Amino acid sequence: MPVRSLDAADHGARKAMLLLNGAESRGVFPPDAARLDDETRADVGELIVAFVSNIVGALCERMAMSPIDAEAVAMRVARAGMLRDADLVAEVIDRARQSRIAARLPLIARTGEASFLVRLSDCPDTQVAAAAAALLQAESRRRAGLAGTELPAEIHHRLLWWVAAAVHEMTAQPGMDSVIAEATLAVLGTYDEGESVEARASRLAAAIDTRPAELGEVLVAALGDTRLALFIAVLARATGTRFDDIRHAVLDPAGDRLWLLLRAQGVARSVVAEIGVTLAAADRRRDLHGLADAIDTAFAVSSDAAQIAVATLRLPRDFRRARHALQAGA
Amino acid sequence: MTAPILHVRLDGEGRLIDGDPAFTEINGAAGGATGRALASPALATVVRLAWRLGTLISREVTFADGDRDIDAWARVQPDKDELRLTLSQIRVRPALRPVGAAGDILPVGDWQWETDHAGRITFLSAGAGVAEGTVLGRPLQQLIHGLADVPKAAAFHDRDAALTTSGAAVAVSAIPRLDREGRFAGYRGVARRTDAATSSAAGLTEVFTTRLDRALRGPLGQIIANADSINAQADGPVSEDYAGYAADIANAGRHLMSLIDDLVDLEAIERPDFEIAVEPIDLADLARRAAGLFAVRAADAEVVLERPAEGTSLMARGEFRRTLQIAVNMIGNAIRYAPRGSAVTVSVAGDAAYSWFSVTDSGKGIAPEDQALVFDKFGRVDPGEPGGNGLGLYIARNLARAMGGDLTLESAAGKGARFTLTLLA
Repeated sequence: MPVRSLDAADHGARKAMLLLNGAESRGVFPPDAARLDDETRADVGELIVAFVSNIVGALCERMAMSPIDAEAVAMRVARAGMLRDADLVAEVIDRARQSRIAARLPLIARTGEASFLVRLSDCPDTQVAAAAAALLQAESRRRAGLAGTELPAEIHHRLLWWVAAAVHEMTAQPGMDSVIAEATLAVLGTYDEGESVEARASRLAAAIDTRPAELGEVLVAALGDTRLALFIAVLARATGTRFDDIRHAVLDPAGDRLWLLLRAQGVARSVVAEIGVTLAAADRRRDLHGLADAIDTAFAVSSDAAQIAVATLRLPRDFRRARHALQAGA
Repeated sequence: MTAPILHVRLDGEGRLIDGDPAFTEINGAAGGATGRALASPALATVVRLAWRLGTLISREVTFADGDRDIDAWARVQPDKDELRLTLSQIRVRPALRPVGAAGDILPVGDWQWETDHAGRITFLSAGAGVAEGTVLGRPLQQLIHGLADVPKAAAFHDRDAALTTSGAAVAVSAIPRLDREGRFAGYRGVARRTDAATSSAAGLTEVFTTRLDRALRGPLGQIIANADSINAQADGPVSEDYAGYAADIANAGRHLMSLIDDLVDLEAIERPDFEIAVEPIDLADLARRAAGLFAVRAADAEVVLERPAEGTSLMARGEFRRTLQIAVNMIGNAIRYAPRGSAVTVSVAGDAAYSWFSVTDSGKGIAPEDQALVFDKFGRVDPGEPGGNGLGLYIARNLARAMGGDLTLESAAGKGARFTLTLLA
């Protein structure tokens, strides 16, 4: 094993790259990941190490053990093929991009007023205020590294068992089987995916229940407050679509589906342009100069036609996947 | 160039209608003129984009003026059939970059915070000692007071202030966050505790142990993990001798790691404000779990580990994690001193007021005159003996006392030892 520098400054980025490169060289990183730019690869690696570290910490605490080196655990599970879990990797990639873009969104300040989410937390409607305060807290905790994995429950469960198996192996004590299994079940029992940033954003979007005429304004306000999860949740609510489908559309640098979705909701062209410019400022993969053409294309179709074009997004995802598989196989 | 803001008016084709003299001069020097597109390609691009998209475009641009480069914040706003270009934060290179750009570096602090342009808290990292739910969305004064005289929108460094809830002294630094038009949109700041170093000067300081923890735990974890992988021959076969050395390295690493754990605990329990969250716990269940953790080590040492029967339950008041830590320490010691083939008994008992957790071994025991010593900080009866660092029982007793209980010893030389943890029922 090569000797690594322990210089703290770039230790995180380096360990992430090591993790991904190690996984890749053994052919256990999904082919999709080959298309990731370096920054996203580093973010994805960091995030996986952070998730593993979070779980290792919870398990060790439960078993009153000294902390085990989470990076070594991450390396071990990656080497064993955990990253072949396409759902996990897709989710981590989306999460990494979502955080990176949110962090780079330009602020849009309104003189004399508090920021959008803080204003919502002051709202006289107690349901909106409570949901906004909950989101404010969840976003702060995630950024501070205080939150759990906040992965969808089924993915969290799979990751947890992978980590438990690696911890078991690294403690190298066969008698630990039941102790680790018990601790893992206890940690599983405390997990609540409803506390994630995404779930809280969706609850806030439901509480706001934006009227069609206000949709553009709310979307721009959420983006201008760098609350990308809320932007996604509001649009998902307005279109009757799942959060992760909208997130996928928002993170797609081509953006075609996003412009169509906005067009279908009757959002004004100038607002769509503002959203496009704001997202382009935060996502270097986007082509700002091609944006005008893309929006022209979306607005060349009628709002009704746009609605039909994006209607399939409202169908259950498994149904869409199955149809896709049939078409691909036919 | 000194003009703070330059205004320019353009038509729908991006041709210059008029502008402040300083701008027309720069534009003219670069070959531009009224009625023609702007000479700077960077500015012309921004203008064209704003017109095509029909929306405000605002970004940092760099354009040439003779042999100088000028950095500025360009804002292009479509206005009916015209476009209005505003250039602000104009700097001639190599002068300092505008506030909020890469030139501003925030010092390292114990914790971070962020506010919006109304001064409301939008982010709080760990370490402030304040539940984030109570201050997020609230004015900064509810978290930190003593910053009232800070000029708005300017960076500040190491201002003396205090935490509003605890009154603890902090030094606060911050840089402004700018919105897309370069306007003040809040602060991004850090705080550093300034009273920590003086309050516990006599013992280990929190800052010292925190840094020790961070500085040592990572590298040590690496050493242990790498030594373990060499020992397990995970990356290919190595000679048995070397695999054995690697195991020695890993074990020595684990010993050092446990010393760090102990030092961190030591610092915590010696702080005057140390508190433990006391909750109802099942001491019998905890005893079985703790004993379960030692199944393999007991088998290796050929010691029979007797534990409370499954299904029994005994409630006590303590913190689960801390009580488990004490139990692990007690059982670990007993196994270390128990002769081969003997038994170590883990038992629980209780009455209306107290619950007890006892670990009994039949080792060499501790003479009455040495019994106080084992609970002393770094106290060891035989300093030459391998294993242990003389902190475990000191920490365990202090933890027990912080939960309203105690840790006691009954023993005589040659007659084994019984350690008993007493907790409130």
